[in-house]
Amino acid sequence: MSITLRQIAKRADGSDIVRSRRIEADEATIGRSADCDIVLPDLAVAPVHARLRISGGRVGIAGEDGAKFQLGGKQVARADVDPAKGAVLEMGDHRLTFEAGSNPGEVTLTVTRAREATDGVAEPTGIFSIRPGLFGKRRTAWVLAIAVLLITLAWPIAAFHGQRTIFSQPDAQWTVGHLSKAHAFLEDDCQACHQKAFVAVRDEACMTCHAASPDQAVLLRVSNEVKAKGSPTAPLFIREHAVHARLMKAATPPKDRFERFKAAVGLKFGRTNDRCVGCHLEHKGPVGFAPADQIHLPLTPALHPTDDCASCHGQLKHRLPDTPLIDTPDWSRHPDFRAVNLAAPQTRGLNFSHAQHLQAAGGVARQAQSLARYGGALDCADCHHPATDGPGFSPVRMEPDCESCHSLAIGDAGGRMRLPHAEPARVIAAINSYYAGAAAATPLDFVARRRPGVASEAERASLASAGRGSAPAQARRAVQAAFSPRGICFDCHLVTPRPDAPPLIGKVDLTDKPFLTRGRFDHRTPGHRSTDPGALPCASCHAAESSQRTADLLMPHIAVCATCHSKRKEEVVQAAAAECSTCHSFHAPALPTRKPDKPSDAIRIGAL
Amino acid sequence: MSAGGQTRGRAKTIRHVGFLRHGGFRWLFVALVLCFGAVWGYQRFEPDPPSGGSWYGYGLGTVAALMILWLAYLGVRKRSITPGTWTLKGWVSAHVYLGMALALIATLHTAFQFGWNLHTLFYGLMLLVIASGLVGVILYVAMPRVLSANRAELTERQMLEQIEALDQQLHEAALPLSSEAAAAVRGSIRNSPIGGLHGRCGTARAVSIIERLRRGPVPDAGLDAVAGLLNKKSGALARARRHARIKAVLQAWLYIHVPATFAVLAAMVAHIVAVFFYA
Repeated sequence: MSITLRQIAKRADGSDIVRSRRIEADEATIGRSADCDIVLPDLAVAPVHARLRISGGRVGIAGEDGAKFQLGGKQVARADVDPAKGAVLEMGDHRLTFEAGSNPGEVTLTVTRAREATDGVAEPTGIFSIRPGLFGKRRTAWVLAIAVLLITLAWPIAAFHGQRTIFSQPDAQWTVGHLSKAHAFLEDDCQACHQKAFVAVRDEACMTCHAASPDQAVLLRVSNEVKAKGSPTAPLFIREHAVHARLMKAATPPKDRFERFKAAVGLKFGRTNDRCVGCHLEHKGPVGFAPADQIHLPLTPALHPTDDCASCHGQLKHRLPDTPLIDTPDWSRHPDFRAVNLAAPQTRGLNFSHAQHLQAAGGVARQAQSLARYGGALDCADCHHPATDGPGFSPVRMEPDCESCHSLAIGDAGGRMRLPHAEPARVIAAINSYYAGAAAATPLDFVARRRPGVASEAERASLASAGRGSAPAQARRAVQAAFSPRGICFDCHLVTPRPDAPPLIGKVDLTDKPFLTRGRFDHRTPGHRSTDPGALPCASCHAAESSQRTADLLMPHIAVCATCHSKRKEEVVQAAAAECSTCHSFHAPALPTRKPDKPSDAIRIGAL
Repeated sequence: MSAGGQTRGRAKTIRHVGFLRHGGFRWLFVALVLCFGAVWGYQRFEPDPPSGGSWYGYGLGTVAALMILWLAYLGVRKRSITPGTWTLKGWVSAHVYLGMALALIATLHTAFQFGWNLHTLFYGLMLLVIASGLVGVILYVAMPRVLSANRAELTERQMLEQIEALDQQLHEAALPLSSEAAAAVRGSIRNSPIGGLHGRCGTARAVSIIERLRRGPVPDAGLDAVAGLLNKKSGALARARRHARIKAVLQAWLYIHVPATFAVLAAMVAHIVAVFFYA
């Protein structure tokens, strides 16, 4: 009985060294200890790990003190193997292979190292480099890039083209700033304004809500629709400053090559300055990380005019030869006011003298003194009343404003009858019916009731004669007196007698249309209001006290405006700034430019 | 290594010019001119309120976009080391200085308007790339000195061979020892990784076990030798690990810089498309 032990070790160059020896015994110990028969230099092996015994051609292996080894992949404490069939045991890092020896009863045991004792350190290459595994640079880079493109680009574009199923507002991440309060309700509806991809916002988008229409019903409908969508106010209905083609012609051409280049690029990309958004800029609200309801947003889109008034109006005639407007390069060369709406400039249909009515002494003054309503000489406010709903004054009306002096009462001293302030035919009818009635015994006495001045001798004579004769004759004489010089009608009206018809009364033309259509003067403006303390009296602008003729238009020259406007406080107490926008606005030239944050009613209702 | 070789190496070191000083700070000068020009133009031409959509804003945006493309191209360019006027070092020098200039030019392009949107995301990612790049620059300037001080003239292979030799000696010295000591030493040999994430190091555990056994009732003379070897191995491991750590730090910033660059390129495409989509 013997064991042939073949121990195989590796050389540094990888070749094997085989050491063989025979153990002439039936039993042998295996272990790390140098005392063992079969020494395994292996720290995973116990000093005496196992004992093997050969009997009857078989090999029995038993672990010492419960030490285990591997046989056929299983951990076992003992084994009985047939070397003729070959058997492989593993103990620590070593492999023990049993084979039948060359002579019967002999066993060959080959011991090899399955694993080097000191290969604990991993392969040296790359050990000092980062091995990122799942998060490699390249993989992370592509994942991030694709994620960014999908979330910030593909998703909003898909939503734009109608795929609005997943969440609702992916394009909100594209916003470059909040909208103004006026448009805040559109903040989650980008396509309200950005209607076509890669096409700059066009006026049609703005005009969906803002187009002025002469039809009030249309305006009301649009207002209601916009409010239903969440707008805080009705939209401002606006009109073009002038016909678009003329506007373009009137605008100054680009000044230099760079401006021309910018204009050309703008034209190429549809981003021209003549669009609404050329001046009215949205998304200019403060940007930041706070939610929209916690930051102060502007009320309306930021206004950044691309041109000033003078850039067109400074040399308008040059570019628009047929314009009726006078070039106004600056305030100092503003043309004087040109009143319009003067249908009957000669007389305005009345005999009236502002001078006579405003005299401090004289008949008119005395008459006014005698009336409790005036208590002294007349002043402007006795006849002219500020309009309740506009920048000017209500039209002067006969009954409330004149009749307290120019009485229409007829009859005796008790004033039993009042003539209608109406067509001559109705006046004549009223006089006729007076004489036809039972009270006709008393002749009409115009004298006692006529307040302005004293009745003339002629009138007295005619009245006296009216008291005689038949009723129709009396009536005829009374009518004639009323429409004759010094008569009740003739005093104020232009009367043209006709032989077979009632006399013709000249058409009274106290137009209530503004005389200035391109820049209305607002009497309500603080400083313009004559009732304000420190304000200028009417007379400082209107030369009423020297006006003799009805047709005198008491509009001051612009030089009068200049006495306060564009002056400094050191020069005049009422000094005020004067810019084009003080009196004009772009979309409504007749109105001052709306102050920021102050909606203008006139513009709101489209009444330009 | 011969003495002559060492002299040559040192002479070379003295002549070395880093990427920051390349060409007498040529690219620093270019970047400064760019920055001052951009700020001057911003004050001169930018309308009030400023906006990335003014003509000057578009100009800044275009310049910044071209810079980003060129800066990102370094990732391609660095793979071919060519000499000449446009050496890789010159390229890196320009990359660093123009990258820093980009931070300013892009900030002017934003017109200081930031919010929760794609555009600020793009800007933030770009700043992340620039910041990580700055970290890289600082590391590249500071760390090589630390690295070579730690290395103590050893090559990486020498460091590993030193540890392997110690392992061999440990193995031999532990063979006669008790099972517990042997297992501890085996743990040290098998489980003392240098890089990567790992739990408690086998060597550290072996040191404490051997120390305990040495103070035990039956101290073995062989334990002393093993303890000495373990101490040496601990030192060698610590050096190697420090080396790995420094090298990892030198590489780690790229794991932000490179992926974030890709994200920036994607966000730039999205930004440009979005801005003109809703023109």
